Amino acid sequence: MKEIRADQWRICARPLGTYTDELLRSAGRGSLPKDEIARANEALALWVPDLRVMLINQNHPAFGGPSSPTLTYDLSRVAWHEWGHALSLDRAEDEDVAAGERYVSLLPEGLSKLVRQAGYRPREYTHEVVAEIYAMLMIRRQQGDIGRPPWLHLEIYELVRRVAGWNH
Amino acid sequence: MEPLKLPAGYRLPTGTTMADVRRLDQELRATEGPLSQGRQAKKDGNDNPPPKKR
Repeated sequence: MKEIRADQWRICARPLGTYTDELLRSAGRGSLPKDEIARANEALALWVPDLRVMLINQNHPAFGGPSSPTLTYDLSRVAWHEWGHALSLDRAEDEDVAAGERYVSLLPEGLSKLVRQAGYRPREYTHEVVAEIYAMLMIRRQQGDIGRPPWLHLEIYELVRRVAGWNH
Repeated sequence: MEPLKLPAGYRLPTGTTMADVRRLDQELRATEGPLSQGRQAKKDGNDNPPPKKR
């Protein structure tokens, strides 16, 4: 993550669109459009490319509250997803982004439903596929499981491998 | 100054929680059997995955 300057992160307890807008304005980068602030306020986590920082809203109701026994796992799962975004936004090619609909269609059914129903724009599909699969593969790697799981389509695995810079 | 790049977020469908995400993760892992190839190789003290069946 240091290689792509994506090693900064913050866990906070507030809607992320409003917070990101404040950070961007204080950094002299201007303001986000209002609809983007509203959209980002619904997110559990954000990768902010202009500030090279990842933000997580641990108060988001989807985390199940501060006493949730799985909060640590859930936060790390979401953090890997956002670091996947950092890689994808920097390294995915235009043709990868254009093939987003196809990549979503190659996901296992449950994952493709999540992406399609979460309100992402079609031009965001490739980045979401990379981020979600990167998160799942990183957790596997931490458990000593390297390589392509049988449920993952080879095209998606090769995409994530290329974006992540993995040799295997 | 370069135009502002929009943040990329992690969003879930309305009513979906991280418990649902964990359940989905576990269902996919369950399709691999009790030990996947990589974990089996590590357990056996072998860094290389077993060869593919022909």
